[in-house]
Amino acid sequence: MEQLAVVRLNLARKEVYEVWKAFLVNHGMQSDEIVTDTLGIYDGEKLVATGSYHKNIIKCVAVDKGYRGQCLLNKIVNEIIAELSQKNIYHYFVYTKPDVIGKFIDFGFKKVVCTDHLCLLERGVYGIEYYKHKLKMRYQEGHVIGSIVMNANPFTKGHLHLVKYAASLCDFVHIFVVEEEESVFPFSIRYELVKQGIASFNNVKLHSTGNYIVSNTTFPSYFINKKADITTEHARLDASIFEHYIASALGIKYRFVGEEPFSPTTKIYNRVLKEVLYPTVQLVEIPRLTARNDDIISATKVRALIEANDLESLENYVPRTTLKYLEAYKKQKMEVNQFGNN
Amino acid sequence: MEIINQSTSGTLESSDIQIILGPNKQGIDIDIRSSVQKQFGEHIDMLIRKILSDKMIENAKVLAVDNGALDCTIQARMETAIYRSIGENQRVDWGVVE
Repeated sequence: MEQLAVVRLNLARKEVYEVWKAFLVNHGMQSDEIVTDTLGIYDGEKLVATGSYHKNIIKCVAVDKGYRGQCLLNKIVNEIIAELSQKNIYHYFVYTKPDVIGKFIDFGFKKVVCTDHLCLLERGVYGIEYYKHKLKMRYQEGHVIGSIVMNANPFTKGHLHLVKYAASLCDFVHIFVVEEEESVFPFSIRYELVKQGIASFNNVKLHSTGNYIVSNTTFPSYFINKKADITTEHARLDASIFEHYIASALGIKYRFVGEEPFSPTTKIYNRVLKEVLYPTVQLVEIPRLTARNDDIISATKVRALIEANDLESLENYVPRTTLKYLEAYKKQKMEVNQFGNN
Repeated sequence: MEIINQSTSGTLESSDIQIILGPNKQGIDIDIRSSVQKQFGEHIDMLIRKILSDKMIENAKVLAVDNGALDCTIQARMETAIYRSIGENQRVDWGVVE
Protein backbone atom coordinates (compact mmCIF):
# COMPACT_ATOMS: atom_id res chain seq x y z
CA MET A 1 0.00 0.00 0.00
CA GLU A 2 1.16 3.50 -0.75
CA GLN A 3 2.65 5.38 2.20
CA LEU A 4 0.59 8.37 3.32
CA ALA A 5 2.65 11.45 4.10
CA VAL A 6 2.23 14.09 6.78
CA VAL A 7 1.62 17.56 5.35
CA ARG A 8 1.08 21.00 6.85
CA LEU A 9 -2.50 22.31 6.73
CA ASN A 10 -2.89 25.95 5.87
CA LEU A 11 -5.93 26.84 7.97
CA ALA A 12 -5.87 30.40 6.66
CA ARG A 13 -7.39 28.95 3.50
CA LYS A 14 -11.11 28.73 4.04
CA GLU A 15 -11.67 25.46 2.17
CA VAL A 16 -8.90 23.73 4.17
CA TYR A 17 -10.21 25.17 7.42
CA GLU A 18 -13.79 24.04 6.76
CA VAL A 19 -12.72 20.46 6.04
CA TRP A 20 -10.49 20.38 9.15
CA LYS A 21 -13.24 21.80 11.35
CA ALA A 22 -15.82 19.31 10.07
CA PHE A 23 -13.33 16.48 10.65
CA LEU A 24 -12.82 17.50 14.29
CA VAL A 25 -16.53 17.94 14.97
CA ASN A 26 -17.05 14.48 13.45
CA HIS A 27 -14.65 13.10 16.03
CA GLY A 28 -16.43 14.84 18.89
CA MET A 29 -13.94 17.66 19.37
CA GLN A 30 -14.06 21.42 19.70
CA SER A 31 -12.61 23.37 16.82
CA ASP A 32 -12.53 26.75 18.54
CA GLU A 33 -9.14 25.94 20.05
CA ILE A 34 -6.23 28.25 19.44
CA VAL A 35 -3.69 26.44 17.30
CA THR A 36 -0.58 27.82 15.66
CA ASP A 37 0.47 24.84 13.58
CA THR A 38 -1.64 22.05 12.16
CA LEU A 39 -0.47 18.90 10.44
CA GLY A 40 -2.55 16.37 8.58
CA ILE A 41 -2.52 13.25 6.45
CA TYR A 42 -4.53 13.01 3.24
CA ASP A 43 -5.55 9.89 1.38
CA GLY A 44 -6.00 11.35 -2.06
CA GLU A 45 -8.29 14.33 -1.44
CA LYS A 46 -9.62 13.02 1.85
CA LEU A 47 -8.33 14.23 5.23
CA VAL A 48 -7.80 11.10 7.33
CA ALA A 49 -5.72 12.30 10.31
CA THR A 50 -4.78 15.58 11.94
CA GLY A 51 -3.00 17.06 14.92
CA SER A 52 -2.15 20.61 16.01
CA TYR A 53 -0.10 22.46 18.56
CA HIS A 54 0.06 25.84 20.20
CA LYS A 55 3.24 26.70 22.11
CA ASN A 56 3.96 23.52 24.12
CA ILE A 57 0.46 22.05 23.93
CA ILE A 58 -0.53 19.37 21.46
CA LYS A 59 -4.24 19.28 20.71
CA CYS A 60 -6.99 18.53 18.19
CA VAL A 61 -5.47 15.12 17.43
CA ALA A 62 -7.82 12.79 15.55
CA VAL A 63 -7.59 9.84 13.16
CA ASP A 64 -10.34 8.60 10.84
CA LYS A 65 -11.86 5.37 12.20
CA GLY A 66 -11.37 3.58 8.87
CA TYR A 67 -7.62 4.25 9.00
CA ARG A 68 -6.84 3.01 12.50
CA GLY A 69 -4.10 0.41 12.75
CA GLN A 70 -1.93 2.14 10.14
CA CYS A 71 0.16 4.10 12.63
CA LEU A 72 -1.23 7.41 11.37
CA LEU A 73 -1.39 8.68 14.94
CA ASN A 74 2.28 7.74 15.34
CA LYS A 75 3.18 9.71 12.24
CA ILE A 76 1.30 12.81 13.33
CA VAL A 77 2.62 12.81 16.90
CA ASN A 78 6.12 12.00 15.66
CA GLU A 79 6.10 14.97 13.31
CA ILE A 80 4.72 17.33 15.96
CA ILE A 81 7.40 16.21 18.44
CA ALA A 82 10.10 16.74 15.80
CA GLU A 83 8.84 20.26 15.10
CA LEU A 84 8.68 21.09 18.82
CA SER A 85 12.27 19.84 19.29
CA GLN A 86 13.39 22.14 16.50
CA LYS A 87 11.92 24.99 18.53
CA ASN A 88 13.86 23.72 21.55
CA ILE A 89 10.68 22.61 23.29
CA TYR A 90 11.31 19.31 25.07
CA HIS A 91 8.47 19.40 27.58
CA TYR A 92 4.99 19.31 26.13
CA PHE A 93 1.42 18.55 27.03
CA VAL A 94 -1.52 16.93 25.37
CA TYR A 95 -5.22 17.28 26.07
CA THR A 96 -7.20 14.22 25.20
CA LYS A 97 -10.24 12.18 26.15
CA PRO A 98 -9.81 9.61 28.93
CA ASP A 99 -10.59 6.65 26.63
CA VAL A 100 -7.62 7.26 24.32
CA ILE A 101 -4.83 8.05 26.77
CA GLY A 102 -3.35 4.56 26.30
CA LYS A 103 -1.92 5.49 22.92
CA PHE A 104 -0.19 8.54 24.31
CA ILE A 105 1.18 6.60 27.25
CA ASP A 106 2.84 4.31 24.68
CA PHE A 107 4.44 7.43 23.18
CA GLY A 108 6.05 8.18 26.54
CA PHE A 109 3.48 10.62 27.87
CA LYS A 110 2.52 10.56 31.53
CA LYS A 111 -0.85 11.30 33.05
CA VAL A 112 -0.92 14.52 35.04
CA VAL A 113 -4.61 14.52 35.94
CA CYS A 114 -7.91 13.32 34.52
CA THR A 115 -11.45 14.51 35.03
CA ASP A 116 -14.45 12.55 33.74
CA HIS A 117 -14.21 14.11 30.30
CA LEU A 118 -10.69 15.40 29.88
CA CYS A 119 -7.14 14.25 30.52
CA LEU A 120 -3.94 16.22 30.64
CA LEU A 121 -0.76 14.33 29.84
CA GLU A 122 2.82 15.53 29.60
CA ARG A 123 6.10 14.32 28.21
CA GLY A 124 9.56 15.47 29.16
CA VAL A 125 12.35 14.78 31.62
CA TYR A 126 11.21 17.47 34.07
CA GLY A 127 7.56 16.69 34.67
CA ILE A 128 5.17 17.54 37.43
CA GLU A 129 6.84 15.10 39.83
CA TYR A 130 10.01 17.15 39.42
CA TYR A 131 8.11 20.39 40.14
CA LYS A 132 6.59 18.74 43.21
CA HIS A 133 10.02 17.58 44.32
CA LYS A 134 11.38 21.12 44.01
CA LEU A 135 8.40 22.51 45.96
CA LYS A 136 8.94 19.94 48.72
CA MET A 137 12.39 21.38 49.32
CA ARG A 138 10.68 24.69 50.17
CA TYR A 139 8.38 23.06 52.73
CA GLN A 140 7.70 25.12 55.88
CA GLU A 141 6.77 23.72 59.27
CA GLY A 142 3.47 24.82 60.81
CA HIS A 143 -0.02 23.68 61.74
CA VAL A 144 -1.98 26.06 59.57
CA ILE A 145 -0.49 26.43 56.10
CA GLY A 146 -2.23 28.75 53.66
CA SER A 147 -1.74 29.64 50.02
CA ILE A 148 -2.62 32.33 47.52
CA VAL A 149 -2.34 32.20 43.75
CA MET A 150 -2.20 35.57 42.04
CA ASN A 151 -1.51 36.95 38.62
CA ALA A 152 -0.86 40.39 40.21
CA ASN A 153 -1.13 42.34 36.99
CA PRO A 154 -0.04 44.55 38.77
CA PHE A 155 0.09 44.06 42.58
CA THR A 156 -2.70 46.16 44.19
CA LYS A 157 -3.87 47.06 47.68
CA GLY A 158 -6.42 44.29 47.17
CA HIS A 159 -3.66 41.70 46.82
CA LEU A 160 -1.87 43.17 49.82
CA HIS A 161 -5.08 42.95 51.84
CA LEU A 162 -5.47 39.27 50.89
CA VAL A 163 -1.88 38.51 51.92
CA LYS A 164 -2.29 40.40 55.20
CA TYR A 165 -5.51 38.51 55.99
CA ALA A 166 -4.00 35.11 55.18
CA ALA A 167 -0.74 35.82 57.01
CA SER A 168 -2.63 36.85 60.16
CA LEU A 169 -4.58 33.55 60.23
CA CYS A 170 -1.88 31.10 59.15
CA ASP A 171 1.45 29.96 60.51
CA PHE A 172 2.79 30.20 57.00
CA VAL A 173 1.49 31.34 53.61
CA HIS A 174 2.82 30.21 50.21
CA ILE A 175 2.20 32.76 47.48
CA PHE A 176 2.30 31.68 43.85
CA VAL A 177 2.69 34.23 41.08
CA VAL A 178 1.33 33.11 37.72
CA GLU A 179 4.29 32.62 35.41
CA GLU A 180 2.42 32.63 32.10
CA GLU A 181 3.34 35.59 29.91
CA GLU A 182 -0.13 36.60 28.77
CA SER A 183 -0.54 39.75 30.86
CA VAL A 184 0.13 43.46 30.38
CA PHE A 185 3.03 43.32 32.85
CA PRO A 186 5.70 40.69 32.25
CA PHE A 187 6.23 37.96 34.86
CA SER A 188 9.54 39.39 36.12
CA ILE A 189 7.89 42.75 36.93
CA ARG A 190 4.78 41.19 38.48
CA TYR A 191 6.95 38.91 40.63
CA GLU A 192 9.21 41.75 41.69
CA LEU A 193 6.28 44.00 42.69
CA VAL A 194 4.74 41.21 44.78
CA LYS A 195 8.12 40.61 46.39
CA GLN A 196 8.50 44.28 47.32
CA GLY A 197 4.87 44.51 48.43
CA ILE A 198 5.13 41.61 50.87
CA ALA A 199 8.65 42.28 52.12
CA SER A 200 7.41 43.18 55.63
CA PHE A 201 5.80 39.78 56.29
CA ASN A 202 8.04 37.12 57.82
CA ASN A 203 5.71 34.15 57.39
CA VAL A 204 5.19 34.20 53.65
CA LYS A 205 7.20 32.72 50.78
CA LEU A 206 7.01 33.50 47.09
CA HIS A 207 6.94 30.84 44.35
CA SER A 208 6.37 30.82 40.63
CA THR A 209 3.62 28.61 39.25
CA GLY A 210 5.57 26.95 36.43
CA ASN A 211 3.29 25.24 33.96
CA TYR A 212 1.04 23.91 36.63
CA ILE A 213 -1.27 26.53 38.18
CA VAL A 214 -3.48 28.83 36.11
CA SER A 215 -1.24 28.49 33.09
CA ASN A 216 -2.10 28.22 29.43
CA THR A 217 -1.57 24.51 29.99
CA THR A 218 -3.78 23.86 32.99
CA PHE A 219 -6.33 26.62 32.66
CA PRO A 220 -6.42 28.03 29.15
CA SER A 221 -9.88 29.55 29.76
CA TYR A 222 -8.30 32.16 32.02
CA PHE A 223 -6.58 33.66 29.01
CA ILE A 224 -9.18 33.03 26.33
CA ASN A 225 -12.91 33.40 26.89
CA LYS A 226 -14.58 30.05 26.53
CA LYS A 227 -17.99 28.51 26.93
CA ALA A 228 -18.94 27.86 30.54
CA ASP A 229 -18.80 24.05 30.35
CA ILE A 230 -15.25 24.06 28.95
CA THR A 231 -14.18 26.59 31.56
CA THR A 232 -15.60 24.31 34.26
CA GLU A 233 -13.67 21.34 32.87
CA HIS A 234 -10.42 23.30 32.72
CA ALA A 235 -10.99 24.59 36.24
CA ARG A 236 -11.45 21.00 37.45
CA LEU A 237 -8.10 20.01 35.95
CA ASP A 238 -6.33 23.00 37.45
CA ALA A 239 -7.88 22.39 40.86
CA SER A 240 -6.98 18.70 40.92
CA ILE A 241 -3.38 19.49 40.05
CA PHE A 242 -3.31 21.93 42.93
CA GLU A 243 -4.76 19.34 45.29
CA HIS A 244 -2.66 16.35 44.19
CA TYR A 245 0.72 17.89 43.63
CA ILE A 246 1.02 21.35 45.13
CA ALA A 247 -1.05 21.24 48.31
CA SER A 248 0.34 17.80 49.16
CA ALA A 249 3.96 18.89 48.64
CA LEU A 250 3.67 21.88 50.97
CA GLY A 251 1.00 20.65 53.37
CA ILE A 252 -1.37 23.41 52.32
CA LYS A 253 -4.70 23.38 54.16
CA TYR A 254 -6.21 26.69 53.03
CA ARG A 255 -6.34 28.62 49.81
CA PHE A 256 -7.36 32.27 49.95
CA VAL A 257 -9.10 34.05 47.09
CA GLY A 258 -10.78 37.41 46.69
CA GLU A 259 -14.51 37.34 45.92
CA GLU A 260 -15.06 37.83 42.24
CA PRO A 261 -17.57 40.56 41.41
CA PHE A 262 -16.82 40.96 37.69
CA SER A 263 -15.25 38.15 35.68
CA PRO A 264 -17.57 35.18 34.99
CA THR A 265 -14.52 32.98 34.29
CA THR A 266 -12.97 33.66 37.68
CA LYS A 267 -16.37 33.17 39.32
CA ILE A 268 -16.62 29.68 37.79
CA TYR A 269 -13.00 28.99 38.71
CA ASN A 270 -13.58 29.88 42.37
CA ARG A 271 -16.74 27.77 42.55
CA VAL A 272 -15.06 24.70 41.03
CA LEU A 273 -11.98 25.22 43.18
CA LYS A 274 -14.14 25.10 46.29
CA GLU A 275 -15.85 21.86 45.18
CA VAL A 276 -12.73 20.02 44.07
CA LEU A 277 -10.35 21.03 46.85
CA TYR A 278 -12.74 20.18 49.69
CA PRO A 279 -11.99 18.56 52.13
CA THR A 280 -8.19 18.43 51.53
CA VAL A 281 -7.92 22.18 51.15
CA GLN A 282 -10.49 24.70 52.30
CA LEU A 283 -11.21 27.63 50.05
CA VAL A 284 -11.53 30.92 51.91
CA GLU A 285 -13.21 33.72 49.97
CA ILE A 286 -12.84 37.18 51.36
CA PRO A 287 -14.72 40.29 50.21
CA ARG A 288 -12.84 42.65 47.96
CA LEU A 289 -11.24 45.69 49.49
CA THR A 290 -12.75 49.01 48.44
CA ALA A 291 -10.93 52.27 47.80
CA ARG A 292 -11.88 55.49 49.61
CA ASN A 293 -14.65 56.24 47.12
CA ASP A 294 -16.22 52.79 47.73
CA ASP A 295 -14.90 51.56 44.42
CA ILE A 296 -13.82 47.90 44.43
CA ILE A 297 -10.07 47.53 44.01
CA SER A 298 -9.05 45.33 41.10
CA ALA A 299 -6.04 45.04 38.83
CA THR A 300 -8.39 45.67 35.88
CA LYS A 301 -9.31 49.05 37.38
CA VAL A 302 -5.64 49.83 37.98
CA ARG A 303 -4.77 49.08 34.37
CA ALA A 304 -7.63 51.34 33.22
CA LEU A 305 -6.24 54.19 35.37
CA ILE A 306 -2.76 53.67 33.94
CA GLU A 307 -4.25 53.75 30.46
CA ALA A 308 -6.06 57.01 31.33
CA ASN A 309 -2.83 58.40 32.78
CA ASP A 310 -4.56 59.06 36.11
CA LEU A 311 -1.60 58.54 38.44
CA GLU A 312 -3.17 60.62 41.25
CA SER A 313 -6.10 58.24 41.68
CA LEU A 314 -3.81 55.21 41.51
CA GLU A 315 -2.61 55.98 45.02
CA ASN A 316 -5.97 54.71 46.31
CA TYR A 317 -5.57 51.38 44.56
CA VAL A 318 -1.96 50.29 44.75
CA PRO A 319 0.61 50.12 47.56
CA ARG A 320 3.59 52.53 47.59
CA THR A 321 5.95 49.95 46.11
CA THR A 322 3.80 49.43 43.02
CA LEU A 323 3.10 53.16 42.71
CA LYS A 324 6.80 53.91 42.67
CA TYR A 325 7.32 51.48 39.84
CA LEU A 326 4.35 52.80 37.86
CA GLU A 327 5.60 56.39 38.15
CA ALA A 328 9.00 55.40 36.86
CA TYR A 329 7.32 53.37 34.13
CA LYS A 330 5.21 56.37 33.06
CA LYS A 331 8.20 58.70 33.08
CA GLN A 332 10.16 56.32 30.93
CA LYS A 333 7.24 56.00 28.54
CA MET A 334 6.92 59.80 28.25
CA GLU A 335 10.61 60.13 27.51
CA VAL A 336 10.26 57.55 24.80
CA ASN A 337 7.27 59.44 23.38
CA GLN A 338 9.14 62.76 23.42
CA PHE A 339 12.07 61.17 21.74
CA GLY A 340 9.70 59.78 19.16
CA ASN A 341 8.21 63.24 18.51
CA ASN A 342 11.57 64.81 17.88
CA MET B 1 31.27 15.31 29.45
CA GLU B 2 28.52 17.34 30.98
CA ILE B 3 24.91 17.62 29.85
CA ILE B 4 24.18 21.35 29.58
CA ASN B 5 20.87 21.60 27.76
CA GLN B 6 17.96 19.41 26.75
CA SER B 7 17.96 17.54 23.50
CA THR B 8 16.11 14.83 21.68
CA SER B 9 16.93 12.23 19.05
CA GLY B 10 15.20 9.37 17.28
CA THR B 11 11.58 8.82 16.33
CA LEU B 12 8.51 6.88 17.42
CA GLU B 13 8.73 4.63 14.37
CA SER B 14 8.86 0.87 14.78
CA SER B 15 12.42 -0.42 15.45
CA ASP B 16 13.53 3.01 16.65
CA ILE B 17 13.99 4.59 20.05
CA GLN B 18 13.31 8.23 20.94
CA ILE B 19 15.51 9.82 23.57
CA ILE B 20 14.98 13.01 25.55
CA LEU B 21 18.06 13.97 27.49
CA GLY B 22 18.48 16.74 30.03
CA PRO B 23 20.74 17.97 32.84
CA ASN B 24 20.34 16.52 36.33
CA LYS B 25 21.60 17.79 39.69
CA GLN B 26 22.84 14.45 40.86
CA GLY B 27 23.00 11.01 39.33
CA ILE B 28 21.44 9.31 36.36
CA ASP B 29 17.63 9.09 36.21
CA ILE B 30 16.31 6.88 33.44
CA ASP B 31 12.66 6.46 32.52
CA ILE B 32 11.99 3.79 29.90
CA ARG B 33 8.76 3.16 28.03
CA SER B 34 9.19 0.18 25.73
CA SER B 35 6.95 -2.07 23.68
CA VAL B 36 9.24 -4.88 24.87
CA GLN B 37 9.59 -3.59 28.44
CA LYS B 38 9.16 -7.00 30.07
CA GLN B 39 11.72 -8.72 27.87
CA PHE B 40 14.31 -5.99 27.40
CA GLY B 41 13.49 -3.10 29.76
CA GLU B 42 16.36 -3.92 32.08
CA HIS B 43 18.76 -4.50 29.21
CA ILE B 44 17.95 -1.09 27.69
CA ASP B 45 18.45 0.55 31.07
CA MET B 46 21.89 -1.08 31.46
CA LEU B 47 22.87 -0.17 27.90
CA ILE B 48 21.93 3.50 28.38
CA ARG B 49 23.88 3.63 31.64
CA LYS B 50 26.92 2.10 29.94
CA ILE B 51 26.80 4.58 27.05
CA LEU B 52 26.59 7.48 29.52
CA SER B 53 29.43 6.17 31.65
CA ASP B 54 31.60 5.57 28.54
CA LYS B 55 31.20 9.29 27.87
CA MET B 56 32.05 10.09 31.52
CA ILE B 57 28.58 11.53 32.10
CA GLU B 58 27.62 11.32 35.75
CA ASN B 59 24.48 13.46 35.87
CA ALA B 60 21.63 13.15 33.41
CA LYS B 61 17.89 12.72 33.07
CA VAL B 62 16.82 10.36 30.31
CA LEU B 63 13.41 9.55 28.88
CA ALA B 64 13.53 6.68 26.41
CA VAL B 65 10.51 5.66 24.34
CA ASP B 66 11.41 2.42 22.62
CA ASN B 67 9.62 0.59 19.85
CA GLY B 68 11.89 -2.40 19.60
CA ALA B 69 15.21 -0.75 18.68
CA LEU B 70 18.34 -2.86 18.26
CA ASP B 71 21.33 -2.12 20.50
CA CYS B 72 23.22 -0.36 17.71
CA THR B 73 20.23 1.94 17.18
CA ILE B 74 20.04 2.71 20.89
CA GLN B 75 23.78 3.46 20.88
CA ALA B 76 23.45 5.79 17.86
CA ARG B 77 20.40 7.63 19.24
CA MET B 78 22.00 8.08 22.64
CA GLU B 79 25.22 9.45 21.18
CA THR B 80 23.31 11.89 19.01
CA ALA B 81 21.31 13.12 21.99
CA ILE B 82 24.49 13.47 24.05
CA TYR B 83 26.34 15.47 21.38
CA ARG B 84 23.30 17.70 20.98
CA SER B 85 23.11 18.49 24.66
CA ILE B 86 26.70 19.23 25.64
CA GLY B 87 26.64 22.85 24.49
CA GLU B 88 28.98 24.98 22.40
CA ASN B 89 32.05 24.89 24.61
CA GLN B 90 32.47 21.09 24.46
CA ARG B 91 32.37 20.89 20.66
CA VAL B 92 33.12 17.47 19.31
CA ASP B 93 35.81 16.87 16.73
CA TRP B 94 33.84 14.64 14.39
CA GLY B 95 36.99 13.56 12.57
CA VAL B 96 38.21 11.62 15.59
CA VAL B 97 34.95 10.36 17.12
CA GLU B 98 35.14 6.58 17.28
